[in-house]
Amino acid sequence: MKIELKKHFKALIIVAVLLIIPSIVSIPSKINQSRRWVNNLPDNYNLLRNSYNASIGYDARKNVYLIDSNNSNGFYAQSTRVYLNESVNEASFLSSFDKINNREDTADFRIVSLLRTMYLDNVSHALNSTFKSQAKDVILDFKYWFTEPGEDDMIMWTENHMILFHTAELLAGQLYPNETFTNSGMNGTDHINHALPLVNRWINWRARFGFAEWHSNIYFNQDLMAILNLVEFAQDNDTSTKAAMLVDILAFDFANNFFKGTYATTHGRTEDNKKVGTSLLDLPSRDSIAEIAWILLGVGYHDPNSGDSSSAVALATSDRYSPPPILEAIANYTLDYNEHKERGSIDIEDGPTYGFGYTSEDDLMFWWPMSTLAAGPVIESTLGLIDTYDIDPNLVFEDELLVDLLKFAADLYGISLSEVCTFLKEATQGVALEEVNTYTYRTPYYQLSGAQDHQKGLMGMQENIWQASLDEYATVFTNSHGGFTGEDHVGGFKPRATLYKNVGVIQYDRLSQSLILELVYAILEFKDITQAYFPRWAFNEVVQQDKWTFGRRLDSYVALYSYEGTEWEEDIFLTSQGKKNAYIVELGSVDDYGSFTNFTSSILATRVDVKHLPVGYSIEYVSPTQGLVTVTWDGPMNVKGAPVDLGSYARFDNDFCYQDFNTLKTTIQYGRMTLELDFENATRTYTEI
Amino acid sequence: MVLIGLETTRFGVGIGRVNANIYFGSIIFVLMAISGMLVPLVLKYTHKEGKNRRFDYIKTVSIICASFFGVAFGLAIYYTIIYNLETLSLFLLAFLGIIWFLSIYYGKNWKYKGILGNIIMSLAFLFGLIYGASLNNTLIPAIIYLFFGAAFLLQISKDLINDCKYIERDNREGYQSFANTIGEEKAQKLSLILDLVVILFLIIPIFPEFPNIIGQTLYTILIIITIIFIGIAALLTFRMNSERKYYRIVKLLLRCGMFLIFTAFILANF
Repeated sequence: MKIELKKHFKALIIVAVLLIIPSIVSIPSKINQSRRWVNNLPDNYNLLRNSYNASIGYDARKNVYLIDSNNSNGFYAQSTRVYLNESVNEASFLSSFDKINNREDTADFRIVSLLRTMYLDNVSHALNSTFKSQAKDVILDFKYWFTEPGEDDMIMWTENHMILFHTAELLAGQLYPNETFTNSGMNGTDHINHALPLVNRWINWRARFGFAEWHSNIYFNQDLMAILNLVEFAQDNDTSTKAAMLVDILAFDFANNFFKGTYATTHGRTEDNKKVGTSLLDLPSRDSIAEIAWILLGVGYHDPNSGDSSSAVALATSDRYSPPPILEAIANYTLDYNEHKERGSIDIEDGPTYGFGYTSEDDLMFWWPMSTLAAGPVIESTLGLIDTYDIDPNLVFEDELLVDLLKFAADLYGISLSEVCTFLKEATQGVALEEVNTYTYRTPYYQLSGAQDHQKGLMGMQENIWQASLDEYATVFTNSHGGFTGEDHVGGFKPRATLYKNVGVIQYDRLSQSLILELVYAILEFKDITQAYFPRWAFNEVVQQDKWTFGRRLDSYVALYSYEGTEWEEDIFLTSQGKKNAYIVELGSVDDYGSFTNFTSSILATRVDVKHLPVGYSIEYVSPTQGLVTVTWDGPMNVKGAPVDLGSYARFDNDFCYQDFNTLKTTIQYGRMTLELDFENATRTYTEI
Repeated sequence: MVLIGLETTRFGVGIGRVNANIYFGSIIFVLMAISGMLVPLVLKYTHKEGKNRRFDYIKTVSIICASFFGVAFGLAIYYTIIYNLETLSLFLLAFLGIIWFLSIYYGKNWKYKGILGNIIMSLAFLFGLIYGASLNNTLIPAIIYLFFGAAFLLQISKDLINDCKYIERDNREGYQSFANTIGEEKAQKLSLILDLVVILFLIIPIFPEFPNIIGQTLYTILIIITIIFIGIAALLTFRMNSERKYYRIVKLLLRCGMFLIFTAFILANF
């Protein structure tokens, strides 16, 4: 037997080698055969709901909204009732009073609305004296800023919370100028003097730098409620005017980014439930700003059951603000085509360039709203401020354990806390809402939008970096699982997204980190996957072949290439194993290709060449519409050999407005209409020749 | 070893590349290490060549060694192509293959095949450090060379002490260990010199701002303990003068030193 074994030994070795090598070679290509799914969907989703579409004019839309809001028993809708001099549903206030009295997180949302109710009542006198007395006690006992004494569980320093708190303090002070506020011991006038500069500081930052929580479909709702309160009730005329100008700017943002009823764009902060739907019976939640965008511009639609939207109620009950007609005109004009570039925020390292240091309380009040709390340059000052005002670290860092871990790492490495935070910048800087250059390209059939080359490889919180939209629900975006807020499909590790018109190349990778950080990721159960949201239920037809997945919604088409193999999850996600992947997205339509079959065959015939780099990829893709597209992890995106502008952008750059970043004057022009917003002189001028 | 090499050089490299390096690099290294560890077996038993006619031990082991190398090298080529790697790691593997081949081909009858076997055994084990580093980056940092040098020389030193310990047994069996060839006293002295060089290699990264080392505090603490261990071993070796009573404790100290070195280097870039 031994001799036999010896005789065949060489042959066995050769056979084993021959078997192993081909089996390894065959691993990467998982999908070869074509697969197809077809759905019967309504052409118009409005059939699914009782809704009003646009084009009935601002005042008419406002009235429609007031009627439906008046029928709502929600807390925010009570302002509408007071505005209309109807009796309020006092029961709806009780839980809000508790929330405010207990100083729970987001109590500021409620007190800003309560203050609107109280101000409106000064005109309508709809509230009874007992209720007003109760409300007054609640307002006088509230904690309006972290510098005041008293325990609380309120996050006050994100961009939206900050304006809510400042607005609440200003309006409360104005409402009771001579009363003593029981928590602070200050009187109303003191609160006005404290809050007014802070309100104007916040407004000026937004004018100069835009919104760090860029295109937020959830927090703009809160911003707008506060800003509209300022427009209506701020006694300082300049403040009121500048607040109105900010509403104009947000309306301009909606005009440039809304597509087929949704805020179909990249978001600095959003949530899974706003982006992900599993079927026609479980749709994604509407954007929180959907109703106010509809009232302002007529974009999207009105849902009669959405009468309790905080921002929409604020607008509908506002007599001092109305949008200049130019904004609705632009929204209408751009329905079929728009190419829009916009910049928001600044990088941490650029602080001194714009006059911000990293140490003083004022400096931190610029950085904290950008979620820059634990980044290297500010961490020591952040901890100092927390100590000074006895702020609960759990509110600042979500979990105090994070600070302990950072301190432990500093001791372990024998370096300062600031150095360790810089070393771990993937997490500490990743959550910071730094400079973002957003790009939106729209045709009648589709919209592609994204944050160009934004914080690639860093870990996020609630960002949705890019999105392709064929309609309200047929949307495609990707995410790399992770992030500190617990969202599964947004806010993960950020890709290098590079977009040009109807083509996008999105690469996921991240630098290897300290094993301490990797351990934290493991404890937080971050999955080692990238994922594309591709809801099969929302498309009339989905075809999969090779590494491409194609979707058709009516006459609009999308193609998504994934370098790594994908598996369907719940029929809505294409999941790829590993943290590194490259996606290519191309959008098309019946106008470009004649048919969906032609679209798929054209894309399948193109050349895609993806090569691994130590970080990211080198990608060459011959787009049927744009020609040769080349991108790597670091260099420019080239289309037909010419570099694409990935930023830094101007504050606004489109057919209607060009404004340099860090300037205070926005001029929007369309046809014979001009809107000039001068934040320096607090003048808002609309002219129509 | 390959994991420590990857760990030390991972900063600045994407997690996708590092993960792939971990999977592919580990497999390739294990195959290559097995291949390398078979070489000393060939060298050690060449004196028995031809005694057993029913089973040609040397030839069989050589074929297995070549097979493992072939599979490792083939896999490395595949990995290099698919993941678009630099070819440095392939050259390193090829270099090792050449050493394996030359050692088997010419080393069988070499006078110093004992130390050659020790060197190849250490190389097969520790080569993973440099190989792992080469997968991440073509510019292999000094810390890797120092770590490799320290661990490699300490392993040789330990092997020398081991050879000295078993010098009589090897004599009886006709195995020509290095201690046998140069004499026990010279082997002890050589071991002592190697211990001192190892200490020097370990001290260098303690200097402030030494590149590619982030946990310098931890590293320093552990390395001081390591140096004490190796220092005592060196002292005992110095005092032995062919006495055999300290071999066991010296070997144990060097083994502990080796373990501490690994721990220190892992924690240096934790």
